[in-house]
Amino acid sequence: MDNDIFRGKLVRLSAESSEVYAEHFSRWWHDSEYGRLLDLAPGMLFSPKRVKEWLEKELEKDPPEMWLFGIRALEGDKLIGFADLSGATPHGDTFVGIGIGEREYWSKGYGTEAMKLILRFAFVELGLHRVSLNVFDYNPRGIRSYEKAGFRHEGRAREMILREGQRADVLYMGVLREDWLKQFGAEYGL
Amino acid sequence: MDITTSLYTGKLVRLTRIELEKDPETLAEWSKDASLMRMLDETPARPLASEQIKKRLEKIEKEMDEKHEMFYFHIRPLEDERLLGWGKIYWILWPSQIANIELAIGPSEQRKGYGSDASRLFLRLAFDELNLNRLAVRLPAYNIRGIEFVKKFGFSEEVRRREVILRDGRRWDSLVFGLLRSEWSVNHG
Ligand SMILES: CC(C)(COP(=O)(O)OP(=O)(O)OC[C@H]1O[C@@H](n2cnc3c(N)ncnc32)[C@H](O)[C@@H]1OP(=O)(O)O)[C@@H](O)C(=O)NCCC(=O)NCCS
Repeated sequence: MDNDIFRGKLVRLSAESSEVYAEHFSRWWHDSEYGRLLDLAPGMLFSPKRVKEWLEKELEKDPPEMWLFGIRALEGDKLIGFADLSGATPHGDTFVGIGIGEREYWSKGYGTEAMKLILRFAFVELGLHRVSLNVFDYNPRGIRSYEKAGFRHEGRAREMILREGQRADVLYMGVLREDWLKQFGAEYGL
Repeated sequence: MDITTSLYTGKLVRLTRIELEKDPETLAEWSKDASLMRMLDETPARPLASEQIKKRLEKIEKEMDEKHEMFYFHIRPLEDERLLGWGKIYWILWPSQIANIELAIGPSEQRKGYGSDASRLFLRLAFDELNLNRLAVRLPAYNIRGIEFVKKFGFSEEVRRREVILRDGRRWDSLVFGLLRSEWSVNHG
């Protein structure tokens, strides 16, 4: 049994203090492209103090409603993003969210590896049956990354977004425990 | 433009406000039987006392007041004040002109045409008054009548989330249906 389930070859999933999260989240959200890839609703810019207050309430909950991790690049141990699981149901389903806030780390494999780590956590530690996500159809980088991590397409909710005068769809993707085990089980000695 | 036709009155039913004194009792009665809740979504069904329901309804009113992201109505017949069901347009995201819709008719009032009449009112409200461009419905794959019902109004299946629901010892898909303004017609259903 490989116990270091939070560490890959490029990144590790980390725990961060609410101050550190708050400072980074607040800064990352000032990048409007990042915000428009992550959220359907228009971005609101918050101070680190506001983010910290919100997070502290969230992180206090025991058991957590949200499993939040930092993503640190192993090289330099730099905090480059976050990943979270939230909205877990009694049926063993949860939604995953991920964002690499430091844009110079996009498209270099960091996000996919972080996603693979959090899926492994979801399946081997939380014992979930499936993991779900939503991604916007104007985010081919995200879509490709999730396909590589084992997600399959489950449909397209049409015209969910109106931005820059154009309507865009939201894609639903999901990965079942059984399929994930077939694809990655051997890699993790399962 | 026709602003004289009532948004809230159909051929059989009316969309009305919540009656905090009387409605909780009827809703509590319906919650004794899990069938209605199980048809809507994956939230575990449980019986609720009138007091619990009253609190929930008060929360809904407060939320409608403060957030403007939901329109929630109680459905009644034209001829008396009894409660037939509820309907809501919720998770409204104004910049995207989208929302979700949920409609439920009490077990003893089903199959009398109330749902279809109410649905016509909700769709007209969504498209002609709230100016939405898209409505979505979530339904468990085992809710065959619900699926036939929404299709009758022009909704089409867009998403099939596999094995999301575990009930009665087996896994079921959870579906998302969508209806665009361009696909909506007042004559549907
Ligand atoms: C989405 C995200 C987590 C993915 O992580 P990442 O480290 O950038 O992803 P990877 O480098 O592992 O994979 C990206 C893939 O997309 C491909 N790609 C990049 N840009 C693309 C484009 N314009 N069209 C098609 N494919 C593209 C890359 O080539 C790569 O695929 P490959 O390995 O087959 O060549 C990260 O980019 C991110 O955080 N983006 C900003 C916020 C965001 O979009 N969050 C997710 C919201 S659902």
